[in-house]
Amino acid sequence: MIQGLALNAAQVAFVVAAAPLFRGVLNRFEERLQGRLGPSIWQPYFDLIKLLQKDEVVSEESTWIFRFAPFMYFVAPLLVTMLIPALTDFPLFWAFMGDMVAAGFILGLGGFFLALAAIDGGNPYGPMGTSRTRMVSSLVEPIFMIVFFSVSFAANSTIPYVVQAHWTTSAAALVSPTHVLIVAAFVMIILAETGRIPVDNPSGHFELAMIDEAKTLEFSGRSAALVKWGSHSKLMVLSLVLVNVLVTPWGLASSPGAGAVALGALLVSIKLLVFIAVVAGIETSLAKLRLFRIENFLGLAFVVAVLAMVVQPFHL
Amino acid sequence: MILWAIPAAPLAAAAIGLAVKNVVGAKVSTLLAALAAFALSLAAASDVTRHVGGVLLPGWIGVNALAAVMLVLQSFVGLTAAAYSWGYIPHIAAESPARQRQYFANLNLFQASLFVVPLLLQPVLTWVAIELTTVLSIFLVSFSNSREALEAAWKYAVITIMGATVAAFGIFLLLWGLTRSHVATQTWSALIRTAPHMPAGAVELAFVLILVGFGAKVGLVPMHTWLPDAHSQAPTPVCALLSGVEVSTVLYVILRLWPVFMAVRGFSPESWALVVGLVSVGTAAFLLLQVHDYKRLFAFSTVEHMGILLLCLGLGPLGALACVYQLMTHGLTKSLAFYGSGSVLVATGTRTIADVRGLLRSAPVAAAALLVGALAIAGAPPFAVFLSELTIFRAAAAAQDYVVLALLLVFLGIAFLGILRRTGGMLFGQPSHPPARLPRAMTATMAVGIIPVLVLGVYLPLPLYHLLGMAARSLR
Amino acid sequence: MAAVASLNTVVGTLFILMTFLLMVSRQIQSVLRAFVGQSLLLVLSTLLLALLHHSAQLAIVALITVAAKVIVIPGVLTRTLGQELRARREIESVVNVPVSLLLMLGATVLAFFLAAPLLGPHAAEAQVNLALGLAALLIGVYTLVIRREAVAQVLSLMAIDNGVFFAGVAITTSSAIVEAAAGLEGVMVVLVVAILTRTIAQNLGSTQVSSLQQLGEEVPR
Repeated sequence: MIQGLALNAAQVAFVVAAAPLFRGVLNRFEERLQGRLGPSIWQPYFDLIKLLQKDEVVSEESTWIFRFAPFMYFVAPLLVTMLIPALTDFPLFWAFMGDMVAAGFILGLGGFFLALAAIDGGNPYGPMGTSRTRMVSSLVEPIFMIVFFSVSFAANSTIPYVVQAHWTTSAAALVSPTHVLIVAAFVMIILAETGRIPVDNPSGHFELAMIDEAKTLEFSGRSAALVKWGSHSKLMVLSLVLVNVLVTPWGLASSPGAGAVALGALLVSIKLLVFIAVVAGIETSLAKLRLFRIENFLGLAFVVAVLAMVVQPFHL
Repeated sequence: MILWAIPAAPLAAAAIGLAVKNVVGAKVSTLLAALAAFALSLAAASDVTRHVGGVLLPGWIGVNALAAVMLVLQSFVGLTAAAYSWGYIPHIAAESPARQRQYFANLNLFQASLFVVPLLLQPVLTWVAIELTTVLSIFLVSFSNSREALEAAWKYAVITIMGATVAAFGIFLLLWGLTRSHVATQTWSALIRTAPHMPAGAVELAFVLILVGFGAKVGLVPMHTWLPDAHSQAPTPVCALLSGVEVSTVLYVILRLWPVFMAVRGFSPESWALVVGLVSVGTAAFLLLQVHDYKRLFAFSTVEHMGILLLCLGLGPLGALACVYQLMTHGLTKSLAFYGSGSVLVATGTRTIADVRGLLRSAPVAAAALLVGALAIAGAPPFAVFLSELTIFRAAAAAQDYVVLALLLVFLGIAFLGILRRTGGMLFGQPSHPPARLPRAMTATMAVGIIPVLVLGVYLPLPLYHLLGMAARSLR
Repeated sequence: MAAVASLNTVVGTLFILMTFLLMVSRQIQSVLRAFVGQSLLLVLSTLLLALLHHSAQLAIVALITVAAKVIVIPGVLTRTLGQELRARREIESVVNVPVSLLLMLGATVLAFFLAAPLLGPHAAEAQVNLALGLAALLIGVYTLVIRREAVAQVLSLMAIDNGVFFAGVAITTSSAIVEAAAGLEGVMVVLVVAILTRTIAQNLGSTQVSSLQQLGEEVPR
């Protein structure tokens, strides 16, 4: 049990420590693809350190929610980390505490508190960003659900570890149309849920056009650092689900030894790097959609997810 | 030997017309080719009635009785259309000899593509030929390049090509039935032989796809929307070919496949035919009452008649005979009706019914042609359609489909009144236009075109009766 | 062999996705790209089936399809309609995209249900092609109906054609002559309709076919 807890802690530490780097590398990739030099890959760390050293300004009108929400937003992805195979392919101590649906709920809880805080802060952009995020999320959630259901049809379970084991046991299942479609739909909802192009522009600075960022404008100092760090972790956690559970369920540590786990961490990092390259490619080749065209993008994701379910009984 | 020469004649005429670079050459070659094709078709048909010839290249090219009926009809209307164009086209494209030559070349190509359809023995190739008839007639429909003509051509192209493509799916499904029964030849007769062993579900789906797909090109309600547009905007001789022949040529494919559908156990294509046919007849009859354009009047009458033809298929063995008979009389009569309306257009320059008055006095020839055409197509007595429609009523009575019979009588009555009320107003009263003379070629064509309509109205020659009987038997 | 059949299924799902993409694309250029992608997937599926059945005829069909659908037809369209193809305006459609997506999702499910009872136990690899071809046909017809732009309608026509052949290659093989005739006919259709489109653009100033509403039974003005 101690060992399981230690490994869980290692998973969380891995995500917390590597998430800013993950975002930094992604930014650097994109800048390079677009023909610019771009900031250092360590820039997100510098930003976090700077913000942590700053004083925090809180509106007099706001309530406890405004101060509490950043912690919630920071912790939610880390709780999810305990449920998914981040470094090991055998179930850890917390693995059966919740399934993929629970992971979705926990992430949703963090987002819910952030939305409340954005309204609470009194900044006019906060409610605007909140309503837009809600619009996107309300369209993303049914797709999440359908993806989970398609997965559970295929793997007979929604526990991430079991699903991962299912895909590793039958290599043929990996080239099945259901699997291909699930992956495609999942990539699309990751882009939408973490505010990437074509849904949102993460590097935009124009408040009126913001979706995700608008909610965080009012935060400063430590709260701002937590929110930023939380969103880095969220992107990383969703990417881990994609690369470790759905696309390439190999390369995880299969024994609890320190060496095996370290090797697992290395292989997972390499897989994440490849995924980063793909995302950078997508983001560079697409343009941000107008707000009312987002539903078209998500509609397509919905079609992909439902098709994954429809074709399931038809391939042998 | 005869068979390949039939489409070759108009093809040669098209080549000659483009090579000689003057309009008279194009006209003469077109007319001669049409004459030759007509003579060859008659020869082919008489071969078929005497059970000789028929197949040129086994598995690829050949005709049965139904195809022979189609060939005769196509070549006769083709002949009159070529003769009518002689007078009509110089009238509407007087300023540009180049456009006239272009017209004749295109007309010949279209005619050739029509001839090809009944000659082919493989359904897929027939489908290709059907697509060709569309492709080669698009520029004939849009010939005047007016806004209306372009609109008509666009609707025609998009809806009929879409329909034919949908039908292709049905044909592939039927061929799948062959593949599953390990039959390698993909001909009509192979399909009919294998049909009882095909999976019923596949044939039923194929039937629906083919009925909807080719139905769009035949002009069955509710896919008929393009037909009144295209069949009224094209130059008159083309209207005659489109309405008199082309839609029937597409229907020919459905007729050819009919025994395949009939052979499936537990499936009744006959009730489909009755329902879809009656809906078409009824809708067209009521739409006829509100047209304001006399060419559209006859175009809607085509929708009506296509419905009648489909309906006949649901009326048993006598219905099959009535179908083939009506197919022929409709083609002959509808082309005559269009020639009449084209003469009115030449005499008055307007297509609007309300603008034309007193034609009997200003342009008596055009008026007579319009009157005869309208009476004949509406089914008045001494004309051919009257006899063929009488056969349909007899078939309905023999099949004891009294509801169908009653509805059909009501719809035909409405259509009859509609056509006569619309055209009658144009003939009498104070002339609205100055007296006009028609080009001699047009008058002569209508004189020729009236002959079969009158003759077949009083008497059916024995060889023709044999041919129709054989064709009808091929539908069961 | 099972791997080839399963790969064919993946190609099939990508094919239907490409058809959806063709339906939702709002720029002519992206519709054209989706059409070429769809045609390539059709070719890929044909090749896989050729491998599966050891059929040289299907390989020839694939060659013909590449020549007609991937090279000649886009080429003809760019030649005759260069100006219209590069137009950067949004394509008008009668129904908005989310509703269309839901409707066509329903149509896809319907296609599966129509195709399922046709298939015996011995036609495993044809199953998905038949159902998806039928679905592509339905989506194509729907796209044709809702689009109000000539060039987009032409490409929808060709997409329907692709759907028909996607099912066709899996369930039957015709002789090479027949296939060549069908391919040539497809090219002719596109050529003629493209020229008609150009005439419409030249005479009426636009390819918005929604402006073509002169004909009907109204009292003429």
